[in-house]
Amino acid sequence: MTITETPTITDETNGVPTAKLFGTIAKMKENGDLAAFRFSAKNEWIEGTASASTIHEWYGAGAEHAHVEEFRFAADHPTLGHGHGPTPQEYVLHALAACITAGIATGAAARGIELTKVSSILSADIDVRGVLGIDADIRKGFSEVRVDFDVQADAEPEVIDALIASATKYSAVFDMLTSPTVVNVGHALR
Amino acid sequence: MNPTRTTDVVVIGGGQAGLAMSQCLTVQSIDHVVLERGDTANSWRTERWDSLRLLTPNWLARLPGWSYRGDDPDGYMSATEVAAHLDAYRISISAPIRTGVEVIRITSTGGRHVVETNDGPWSARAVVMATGASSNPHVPGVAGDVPGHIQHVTPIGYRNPSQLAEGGVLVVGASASGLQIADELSRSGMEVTLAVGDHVRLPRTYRGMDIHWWMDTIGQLDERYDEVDDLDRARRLPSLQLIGSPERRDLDLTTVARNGVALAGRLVGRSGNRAQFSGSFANMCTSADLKERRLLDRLDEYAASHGLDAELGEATRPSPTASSPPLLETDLRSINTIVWATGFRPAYPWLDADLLDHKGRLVHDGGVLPVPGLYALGLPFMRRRKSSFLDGVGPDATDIAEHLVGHLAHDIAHSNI
Repeated sequence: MTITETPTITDETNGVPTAKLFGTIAKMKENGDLAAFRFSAKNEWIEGTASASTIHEWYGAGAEHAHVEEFRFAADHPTLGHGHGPTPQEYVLHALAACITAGIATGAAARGIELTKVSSILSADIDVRGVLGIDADIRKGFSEVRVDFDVQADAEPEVIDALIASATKYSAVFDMLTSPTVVNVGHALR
Repeated sequence: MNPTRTTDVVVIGGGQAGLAMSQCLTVQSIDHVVLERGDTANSWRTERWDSLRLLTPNWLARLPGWSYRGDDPDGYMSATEVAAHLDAYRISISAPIRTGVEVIRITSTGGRHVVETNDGPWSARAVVMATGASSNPHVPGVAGDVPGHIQHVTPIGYRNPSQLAEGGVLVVGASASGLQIADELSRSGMEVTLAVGDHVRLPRTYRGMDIHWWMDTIGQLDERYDEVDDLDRARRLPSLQLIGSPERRDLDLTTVARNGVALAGRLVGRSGNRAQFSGSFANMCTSADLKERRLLDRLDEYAASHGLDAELGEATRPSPTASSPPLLETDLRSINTIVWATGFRPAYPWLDADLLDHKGRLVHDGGVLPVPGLYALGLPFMRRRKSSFLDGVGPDATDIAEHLVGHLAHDIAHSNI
């Protein structure tokens, strides 16, 4: 059975359902199996350097689930493509910002801090001679990523700094970018 | 083999915790024996490096019925001096210690606990495991995945730089042990890389006073295990980045980097000949700097609210951690030794596995195990933030003795029915 979650806006801090959050943590401490999640995406080539991913179903907390709708994201190449979307690398920046920002919102809610603004500007450097195979000594991915947050809340500046540092430390995407991940790419869908 | 001997309480371990427990039991006139695998204060004699000094000043070495008697209360004892301090304590309290006794197994049935040892069994109504928190170094799995030419050393086996092979050294872990060892190796001229994960940064002194004086004065060391928000996290907190030195110098990432130690993020894996480090270094440093600033703010608030500002020195704050960009990888062919300063995991090979949780940790409530009559002592944040400190085990021993007296009384009342 697939459960479709309807998002409800609660009147709790920052719109984060803290009671549910703490309840979930307590349940997962009891039963580690509930913490096993699996995310998936489907991707389809469009034309040229463009493709689009659709994201709908996911597994977690012991059951199959689905987002309220099938979300679609197209990506393309900045110079060789035809403008179907931003580059895949830019999606990585979006993923990082979204992940840390969610952590700031939940972290603030858990501490009873009301947020009025969370915005961030991201930039990342890449030497494309790596991906183009011009120089084998140049790495293909980003050489450095910078994230600058502007967080406004009813808290001291250093509490906000701590909130950002902690959200970063506990961010899944930050972890995936800063530590190696096993990635197996095959040709199973024949 | 000796026949079974009987006593009220068996205390396992003759270090600071076991001796403090013995003193508390003697005061209560409870018959007991202290079983020690080596000699009194064994770890301090045999498992510490040559230059090691306590992180806490000498006056902060109070034990039930004992205190520092030397002429340098603000200094920091060497491991040998700690052993002598504990030996003098043992004599002063006439601790009934048996040395060279290894515990093999504890079996609990019908309110009695049989402690099997290499010297024959003991039967007791209660057992206190006071075997310490720093005897079983934890080495992460990646250790088994590095090239075979590399020698592995833990803080327990490390003595001095001359013991290591020539060539590069990778020190993994930047708490007190890792940072001190990296500092010593680099001062001796070796090429040192330090892998840095979560760490707790503090200045040796603040406003002219030792940082431990501050933490003792504001009551931070007395924070109880049932008062903190996240006990699990508090118990896993790495040791403070400090060193006990005659000149009371600071030791942090900035100082070791200045002396030539190459800093890297947390060690996360190996790929080919390369050790890989996490890119989270900057965030780790930011977190540590923030926490340090928060504690120093707390100290300033305390000083102001207690009218101490006039007596204390100027509030000079440490600079934020400064480093050149951290390494993301290093070639393991140029590393000949890895020092695993990656913490300790107490081990209880003599206990039933069902007394441990799924991660092999002892299940206890402030040192009281679920099996009546079984106790632990000396573990990190067991009942207080200072539980595993030389100065901190005493109050825990007093608490455990009180619980134990209740247990023995209940036990007698029960057996009389």
